[in-house]
Amino acid sequence: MSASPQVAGPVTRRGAARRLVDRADAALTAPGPWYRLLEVHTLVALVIGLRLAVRDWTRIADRPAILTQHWTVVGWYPGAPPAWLLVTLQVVGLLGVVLVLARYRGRVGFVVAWVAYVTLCAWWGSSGKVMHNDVLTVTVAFPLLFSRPPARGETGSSVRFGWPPRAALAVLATVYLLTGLQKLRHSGLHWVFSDNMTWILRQGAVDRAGDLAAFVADHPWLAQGLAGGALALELTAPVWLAIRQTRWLFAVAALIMHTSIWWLLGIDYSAWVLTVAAVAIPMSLRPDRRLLRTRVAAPVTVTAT
Amino acid sequence: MVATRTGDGRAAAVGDERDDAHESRIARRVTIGTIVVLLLVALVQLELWPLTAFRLFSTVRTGDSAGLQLVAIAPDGTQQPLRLPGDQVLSTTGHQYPDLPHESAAVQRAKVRAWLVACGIDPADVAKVELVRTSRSAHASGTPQVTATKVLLEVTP
Repeated sequence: MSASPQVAGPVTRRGAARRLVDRADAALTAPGPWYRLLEVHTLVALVIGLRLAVRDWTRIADRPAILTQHWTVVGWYPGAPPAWLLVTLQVVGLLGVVLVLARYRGRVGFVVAWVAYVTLCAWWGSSGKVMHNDVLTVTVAFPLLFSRPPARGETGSSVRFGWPPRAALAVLATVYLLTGLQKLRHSGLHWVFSDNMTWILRQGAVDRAGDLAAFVADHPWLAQGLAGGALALELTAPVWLAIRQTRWLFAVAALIMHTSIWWLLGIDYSAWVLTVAAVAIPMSLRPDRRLLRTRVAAPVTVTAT
Repeated sequence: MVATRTGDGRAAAVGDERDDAHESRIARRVTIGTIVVLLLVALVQLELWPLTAFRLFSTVRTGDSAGLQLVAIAPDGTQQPLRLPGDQVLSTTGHQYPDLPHESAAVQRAKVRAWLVACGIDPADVAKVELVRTSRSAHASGTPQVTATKVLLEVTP
């Protein structure tokens, strides 16, 4: 069968698009080893546990009800939550993380920890400013809510173990891409090739980094280089994260970017760094290599097809 | 593929294939669904935490800036700018200042009283509170100069 030149183009493009979709689908739903899901599931739960543990959530109760904004998922709750409820949620969330770590009802534990974390973060951020400090962890953890991590003694390779870490990786890439696209949408390349970064540093630098911020701001090529590097990293995140060998490099680059933001501007994106590491580092390993060597009883396995 | 745990031959293999098909459906729905929601939320600029448009430093900064500030004025005319506590929960309530002129008089009064108390000021000691817009401009040195101030609102607490 031959196609006329007039229809060959669209047909070819549709065929190429179809092949791309099929490849993405095959990559998402390919079998994966049991330990990779366990590693990502556990590490993301640990990030949630750390965030739950280190913050004094009772400060939410100190915010007057009249100053509580309701543009969050807990906006339906009237007024300010009492301190006892906040502490209860914190403890329940931490218990959920313990269940994940103990591999006892880990799926339920993860859901409980996530719900407690989302609720507390939503209340924390109900002051009028959109807070992004924890939103990456919440978003990346979402696909893992639907996963069934391996029970004790359960091993092998299957679709069930393979897709959740890949879904988390895809969501991670999407979030970074969106942060870059929004800069282009609202500012264009002016975000890089202007005095933008210079003024961000001049107006927002914290005291400890005043000299360094002034040095960078005084050298436009350096300020524009920083801005360009940050934007390039965000826009190319899907590429870095699609290739197994470059995933750990993305984690290192994200660490450098967020640490420099924290040092210069005092904005804490540590949860982003930890979440990137929790997903990208295990997923950068060869499929036959575990993150940590643990002794596991040899399973009885069969070759199905 | 390699099936798990059981050595029960053909029946187990069929069960595993069914399980794989089921998991593949969940994988597609969850992954595509999540990404589509993220894209749509960013497209329409929705902010309903944790749904967010991910606008992180997305606007261009220049040497010109403007900020809002509440200033408490005592009966003797003494002015005291309100300094919100440093913790993130209370300090970020200052992002509600732009909405204050659009609130009802009762809400304006209640919010202003709450901010005064948060700053350790007794509302009884205050004659009025002004919402002041201050415009600043900075040259290459980075030192900002106030170029204009305007009182947008007066509230009696």
